[in-house]
Amino acid sequence: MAILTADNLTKQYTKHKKSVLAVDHFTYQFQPGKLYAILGESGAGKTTLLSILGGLEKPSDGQLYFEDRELSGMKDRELSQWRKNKIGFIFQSSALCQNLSALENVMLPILAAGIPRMEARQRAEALLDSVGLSERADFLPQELSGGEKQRIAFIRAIANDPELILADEPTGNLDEKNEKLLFERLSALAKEGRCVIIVSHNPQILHYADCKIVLSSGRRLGADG
Amino acid sequence: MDKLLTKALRYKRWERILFSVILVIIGITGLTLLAFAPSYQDYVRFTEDYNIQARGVRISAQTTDIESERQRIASVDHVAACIPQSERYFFTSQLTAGDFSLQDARVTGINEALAPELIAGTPIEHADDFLCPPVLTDANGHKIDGESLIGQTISITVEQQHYTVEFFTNPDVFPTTSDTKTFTGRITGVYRPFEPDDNMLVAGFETVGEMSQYRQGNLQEFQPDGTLIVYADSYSNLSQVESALRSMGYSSSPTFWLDKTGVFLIMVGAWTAFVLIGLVLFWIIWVLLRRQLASRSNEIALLKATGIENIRIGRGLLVNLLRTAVLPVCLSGAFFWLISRLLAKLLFLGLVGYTPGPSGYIVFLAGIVAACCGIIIALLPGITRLSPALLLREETK
Ligand SMILES: Nc1ncnc2c1ncn2[C@@H]1O[C@H](COP(=O)(O)OP(=O)(O)OP(=O)(O)O)[C@@H](O)[C@H]1O
Ligand SMILES: [Mg+2]
Repeated sequence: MAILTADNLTKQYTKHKKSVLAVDHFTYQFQPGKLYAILGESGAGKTTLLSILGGLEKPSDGQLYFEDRELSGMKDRELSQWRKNKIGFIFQSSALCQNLSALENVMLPILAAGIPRMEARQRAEALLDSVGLSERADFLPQELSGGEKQRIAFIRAIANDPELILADEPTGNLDEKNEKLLFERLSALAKEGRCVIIVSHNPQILHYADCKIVLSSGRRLGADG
Repeated sequence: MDKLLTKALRYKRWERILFSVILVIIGITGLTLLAFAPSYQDYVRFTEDYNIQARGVRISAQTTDIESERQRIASVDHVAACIPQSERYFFTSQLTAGDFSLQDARVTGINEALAPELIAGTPIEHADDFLCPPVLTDANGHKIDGESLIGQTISITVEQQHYTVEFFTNPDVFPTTSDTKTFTGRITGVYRPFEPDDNMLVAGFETVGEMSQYRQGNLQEFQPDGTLIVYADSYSNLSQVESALRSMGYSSSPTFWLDKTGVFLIMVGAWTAFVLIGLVLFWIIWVLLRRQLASRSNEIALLKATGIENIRIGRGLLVNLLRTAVLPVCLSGAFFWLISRLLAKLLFLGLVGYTPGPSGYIVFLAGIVAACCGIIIALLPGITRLSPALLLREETK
């Protein structure tokens, strides 16, 4: 069964009476165990689509189903609950809380999911260790390199073992080696049975993607795989 | 969890400092003004309610021979009494300066138990005792016609005050009662001190000058300032007495405001100013908080994307705000306390027995804190509207 079903998703922004159709009747089924690459020129609506798929933005029209639950009808509480437990986001700007250390940043989503503090700490330490950053546990984001931050953002996203992982330009400021590592990790997660959706300009993504979705002016041009 | 959340939303250091400084400034100016407003109102209320019977003119003695000067002034038309006046105690002495109601003077034999203390000067907190029942009656319950009492001889027992300085509890001069003496004299005039439909009568009394001098006891030792208060025999004659005194070379001024419209205008002006200032302060706090929210928007979006509920984020912001506000609120609260005591002292200088102090106005402090919390709650929809999608649109730093 599809983990995420988009049915005629449409997003229209209106600003000063001019409207932009950022996503135009997007219909698709995302399966678990696959890595999807969303491609398209700048302004094609990739980010918009991703934020709708993650429940960060509401579509102006169309439905989104997670397994068989309709998302547009959910209240803030339910939506939060769903994001907390089912979704991991990786943002391009490797968004971390500036006041929190690396360890605390990883702990936050785990604690939010209701795990007791001690256990959350151990889990966060193990995650940091898995990306070779246990030495940096007490560092603040501004004391970390771009690649290190990206790795922390990555483990932060997968801390609650989400079924769906969404990433927007995750390799934006990484060198080739780190880029490759990140794609490999994401690919491994897909192989373990999760659904991974990545927006990227980086052609390397095509080596890892199981399916390719190309957007142009908000419309899906075609998909393979 | 919530501890970490609070930490994540914590303000930057410079923001904290700026916020504290602004809060202290707001607190000090705002609270001081707020403290002043009700004190001022109390002051006006006092002068309106109790001192309307004063009919006093304050003048400065021209020579050191106060006694002969008093006699000279006492012979002016419509002067009921002239007594040396201490700045501090004019309220007390005013009560003894000849303006007592018939009932108080025991003309009719009713309320006898009350009379001696009243004549001795009731402390202001018992001022209610001084007010007469609306309709004067004699011991048999018959209504008394005030005019019929003119020329009657009455005797009044006066308790002499002995003043001592009490430094420890309050650096003030306190009266204690010592000897008593009985004065006899004729009622020289009767008039209504309040509105025409008010039934309270006040009598002018021959020996009241001596009586109040006696009652003042050693007060002059404390304040030999050479000020005299001249009482007219009725309010309607006050301006006449005043101009007579001016023509004798005294610079005179009424002891209290008696013009209610003036007072009303002042009150309206004052309250308008306070409301405006309050609105401006509210606006400053509001802008400040919006800014805080904007500067934390990245964090908030991230927390939302992580799946933390709006209400929890709001709570985190509130905790941070309160934490930042504790010190400035305490500081300005302390300052507020001091300044309002000082203000109250200055304003209520003349009112014996009135304890100035901002105790009641602490309510305003609570009001300010409540307003801050209210603003935060009002900002909650702002948090809700803030889309976590903004993280996706964030420029790479
Ligand atoms: N909040 C908004 N209000 C109005 N228009 C918006 C808003 N967000 C995005 N858009 C418009 O929607 C269109 C799609 O934007 P989107 O960010 O999804 O593009 P993208 O495919 O991610 O581009 P890029 O590759 O440059 O990141 C753009 O034309 C953009 O101007
Ligand atoms: Mg984009």
